[in-house]
Amino acid sequence: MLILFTKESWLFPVIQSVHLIGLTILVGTIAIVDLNVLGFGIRRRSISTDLKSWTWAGLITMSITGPLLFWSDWQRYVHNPAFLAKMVLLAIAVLTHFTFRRKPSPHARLAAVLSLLLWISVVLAGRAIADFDIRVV
Amino acid sequence: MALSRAIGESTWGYPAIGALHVLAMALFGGAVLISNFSTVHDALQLRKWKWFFFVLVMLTGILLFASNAVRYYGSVCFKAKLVFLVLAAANVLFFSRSRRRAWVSAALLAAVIFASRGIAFF
Repeated sequence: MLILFTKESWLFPVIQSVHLIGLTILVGTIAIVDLNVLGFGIRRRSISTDLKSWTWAGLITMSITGPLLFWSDWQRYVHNPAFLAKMVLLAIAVLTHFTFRRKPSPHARLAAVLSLLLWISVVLAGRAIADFDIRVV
Repeated sequence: MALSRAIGESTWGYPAIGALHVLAMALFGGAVLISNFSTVHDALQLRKWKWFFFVLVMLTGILLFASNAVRYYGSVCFKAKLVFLVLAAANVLFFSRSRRRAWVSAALLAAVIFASRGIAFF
């Protein structure tokens, strides 16, 4: 079934949609927590623990659907500058998420701003993959 | 329309607005989801942000539509998307806060996303 899964398959837009739903849950909840650290939106401190399982659900959805989409035409993606930029930004964003952003420190606000900027860049680069798609013959 | 022609003809116009649309969608959807499933208090504090993201997603959406209105008008998935959006709005306008309304809202937003992706194909 995985071999049959190509960009032309009807499964491609379906998995893309699930990827976008995962994105909404992941980045939506991360943004709410970052805004909370900066004193905006939901003000209570406990929100970060309350949203933890949502963020995980989003992250797991993304890390299943993302590699599936990549698998559909990996030779094409590895030549796509937007895809490569997204992967680098994603690595930094995930690393920041589980290290710098996690522990309470005097730099918590800086970590929140960094987290917001990184995830926004990941989303923008992700969307740009379609615009930098060059069919290699 | 001069604006739609400008977006359609520029190299960066459509990609940039499209990327902003996806970003605004994620932030709006996330805020809606959490305010529906969380407490009234949380929802009230998120309200301003929800509106901000909503305006951003609508504005970018209208610009994308304007860039190629004829094509979108003929798309089945675009029409389906509008129907799901109207249903999502009706759901929050006509029903009071409940767990069920939160799930219906989440399902309709998921349907909007599925239909949106489908616009490229149908």
